[in-house]
Amino acid sequence: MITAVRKPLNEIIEMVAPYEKILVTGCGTCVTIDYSGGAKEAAILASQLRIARRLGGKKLETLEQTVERQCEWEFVKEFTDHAAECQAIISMACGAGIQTVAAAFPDKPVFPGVNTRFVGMPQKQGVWEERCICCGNCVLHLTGGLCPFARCAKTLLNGPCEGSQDGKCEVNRELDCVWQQIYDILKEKGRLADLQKIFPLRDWSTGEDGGYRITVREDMML
Amino acid sequence: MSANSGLKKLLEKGEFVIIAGIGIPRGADFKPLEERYKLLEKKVNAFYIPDNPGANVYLLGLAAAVHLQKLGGETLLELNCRDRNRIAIQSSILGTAALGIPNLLFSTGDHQTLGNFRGAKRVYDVDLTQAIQIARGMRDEKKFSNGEEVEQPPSVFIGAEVNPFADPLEFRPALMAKKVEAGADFVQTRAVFDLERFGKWIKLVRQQKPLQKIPILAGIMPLVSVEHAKALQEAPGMIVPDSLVQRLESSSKPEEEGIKVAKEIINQVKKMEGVRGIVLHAGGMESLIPQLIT
Ligand code: SF4
Repeated sequence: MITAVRKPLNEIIEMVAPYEKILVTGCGTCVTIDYSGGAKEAAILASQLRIARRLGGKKLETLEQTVERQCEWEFVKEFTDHAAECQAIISMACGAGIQTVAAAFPDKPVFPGVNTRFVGMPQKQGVWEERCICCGNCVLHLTGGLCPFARCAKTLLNGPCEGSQDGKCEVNRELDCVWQQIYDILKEKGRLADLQKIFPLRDWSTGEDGGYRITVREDMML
Repeated sequence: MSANSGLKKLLEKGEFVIIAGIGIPRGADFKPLEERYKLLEKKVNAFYIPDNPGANVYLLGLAAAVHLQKLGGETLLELNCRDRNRIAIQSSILGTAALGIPNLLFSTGDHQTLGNFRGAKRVYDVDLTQAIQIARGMRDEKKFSNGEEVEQPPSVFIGAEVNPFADPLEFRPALMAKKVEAGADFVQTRAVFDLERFGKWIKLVRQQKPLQKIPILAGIMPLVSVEHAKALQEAPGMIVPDSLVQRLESSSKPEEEGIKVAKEIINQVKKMEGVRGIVLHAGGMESLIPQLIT
């Protein structure tokens, strides 16, 4: 899932200060599951903004609407009526959703209500961890099912580095060193020989370093 | 132009080499570097030039190396993988060789968030082992990493950073073996304080035949105060035993005690198999180095 966190309230208050009627939009998929930008969070944000405005002696009207997925044209179209009534839109979806809304309503200022963080998973209740950097060339079968790009601060392929100690990463002692974990898992599986081979240079152009990515599937086109 | 490594010759002759890490200025002036150089001139075999250590900004290592070589000192220049991608690494290898810098030490590099420029973007396009592989390919096969031909191959004596104090200990010799397979001619360790751990690592390394002929240069750092020792205990990749901190604490002259400790460590590592030299990590404390090596 894509995870996000709500932007600080003051930042949002400032962004929408010039407007008197805004549409606060939630997304029903990832950001609903991680409690950052679903229907409930959209309602909370809308009321926080109204209260803040009233405390400042001014009025703010809000509409709220949440769709299944803000990252698809079909769904964001559902905002059309409400958007027409409002001067601005806050999108509480991930960056993909915010951009879809911004493109679908080019006449309206669209503001991000969350900071999109990473592709990850809920490790336990209330804790989400990064798992994938969408590199476009998966190596998880070689690294014991642990991603060295998402989880090693130096994106190493021949780790661990010279700062790994006690299973922890040199960057932050709260973080596990993923190369220690990869070592432990492959050792248990009797596959340490895999780690004795030099991983060759990587082609990063399949990831974000190659420019923004477009997937074309001729077989899926209408 | 290709560079001739005096360091390589000394190691081949079987001499015990002494390299001094030199403090690189943080301003656009070589004067402090010249002063430090004068303190050590003719006393050491080469000068080790760290590459923006601790992820902080210093004068460009290459510039410092060229200047020191002009003054007459041989240099061992560090190139980290934090600040340069494969394009910059290869152009640096060509440029350093053309400028007559004979020895390069490849390192991963302290992560950028550990220094004073936390917001910097990371590079880490290639890792240390891959950087060494690139250097060897350019030198011996006349090939860039993409297979294109190098017009004039660089002459470079290739060093690899290794850390006996990082984990997992039992895998560290295999990691060193990868660096050697990639092309490392010698390895340089982080500063040794924990002789027991260092001894264990040496023993494991010596069990691997291909590693037996690889010169190990042991890092040595004088502790100058109790605070210094305690700060190093917290630094990633270091092990400073409590017993050393206590020795400094109970001494009325901690700096002198620190020198004594460093001398003891030098004497011990000298006796260990495979250790063929030392690198004195005493940047900014160059005045202490002569005491350490006499
Ligand atoms: S300590 Fe481990 S996870 Fe952290 S940068 Fe080094 S190899 Fe990567």
